[in-house]
Amino acid sequence: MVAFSKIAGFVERLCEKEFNFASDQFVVALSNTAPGSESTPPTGSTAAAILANVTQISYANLSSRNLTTVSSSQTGGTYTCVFADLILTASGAVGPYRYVYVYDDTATNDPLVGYYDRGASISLATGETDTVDFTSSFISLA
Amino acid sequence: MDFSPETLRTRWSELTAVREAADAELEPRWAELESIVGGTFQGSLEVAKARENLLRAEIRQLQEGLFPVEQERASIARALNGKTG
Repeated sequence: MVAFSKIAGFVERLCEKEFNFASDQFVVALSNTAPGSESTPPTGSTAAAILANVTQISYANLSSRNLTTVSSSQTGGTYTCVFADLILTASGAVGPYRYVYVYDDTATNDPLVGYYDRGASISLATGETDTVDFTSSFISLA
Repeated sequence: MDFSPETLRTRWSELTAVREAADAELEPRWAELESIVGGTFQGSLEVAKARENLLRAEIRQLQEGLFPVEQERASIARALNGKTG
């Protein structure tokens, strides 16, 4: 998994009180379309930074995409949000997909936070898993 | 200890059942929270606010219990190179 790319509109939405990282439902969305190639790129304006502007794959054969918030707190003025690693399990053919978005399913219009580019498209077969590794912290604000 | 693929897959299934049970607890709370945030909750603003606070506290508690389960599931999935089924 390569570096996380922040969605530009996320920062404005964050400062305008759309997110609650402690208890909102954060979910991943999978896509095989490059963000910049979407008909309305979600990487553009703040208004465009929503799930509706992402071309998603079918999730019919995929396990839960819900993220688990491990902690949401500050120490010494630095806020950190940590998600548990997410294991996606296929019960049939899934994909291909390359882009793994994180969005807030609780907030109105499902605003996007950012995405990972896996570098190449992958597909899953029955019984296979893909682990989304969120490292030590998902978001840090100092 | 036995770290054979069969044993790991059995453990994987046990942990996945725990995860699914937690999801069953979380999903209705998230759905209700979404209705409050989205303004479709039936009730006064005061009731909605109190309900939201309760739901958020319950969600946090449920997710705290899920963390070790998810981390162990991730470790097993890596050990099996993603072949958990």
